[in-house]
Amino acid sequence: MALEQVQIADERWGEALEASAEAPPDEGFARRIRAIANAAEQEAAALRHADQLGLAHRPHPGARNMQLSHELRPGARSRRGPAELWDRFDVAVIDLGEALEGVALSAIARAFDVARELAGEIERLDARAGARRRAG
Amino acid sequence: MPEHPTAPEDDPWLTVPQVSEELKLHPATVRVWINTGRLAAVRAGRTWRVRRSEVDRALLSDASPAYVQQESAPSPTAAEAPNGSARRDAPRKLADHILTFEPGSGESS
Repeated sequence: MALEQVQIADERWGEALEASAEAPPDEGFARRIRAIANAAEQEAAALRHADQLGLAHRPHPGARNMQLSHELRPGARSRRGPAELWDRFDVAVIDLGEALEGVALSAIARAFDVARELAGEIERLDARAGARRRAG
Repeated sequence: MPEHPTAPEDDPWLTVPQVSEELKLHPATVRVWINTGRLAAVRAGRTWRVRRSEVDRALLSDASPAYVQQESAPSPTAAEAPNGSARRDAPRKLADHILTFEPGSGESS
């Protein structure tokens, strides 16, 4: 059932955003952004399936002004990693917001895919940097 | 738009490259700040202009926790963007916005 799949994906998405919402700057950053990447992948898959069944989306007005969490907001100092990658991530979040203002589930799924890819890349770089810090 | 109590000559308009240079940020980041409402700007043809005072205000909006405590800033998730639009949390329940269509009877949700 397409709707149930989206509900399951929503649970992971909500948990990932909640964990990141008021998080302190710490070593859990990589884990939290990985959770967001994984949840975005689940949302993309569930929404794509719903789209293939001919379902549509009721727009979220004003979603282009959304932020995923305090630690991931544009310009936050808690963000670690290359500025260029974060710039692309910010654009991906705006694109996701714009897609959420529309009716096309396929567009939302694509936007989740891009956000997932960039969040995953940020996490991989951060985990690598963390390993280097611990080594020494 | 925020108020600018200083005289215009003391509060000049800056271009995106000038803001980028002052804050040591990539120009794309400055544009993201403008597009997301973190930095209030006005259109001048195809480019943006930003008041110097607005650059200071936007920078201080991400001050250290001690500074934030002093200023008793509002909850960041409920912050209002400088362009007047409310910065909102990302939707978490997309399933509630899925529309199903029943054959021959229009739509239902």
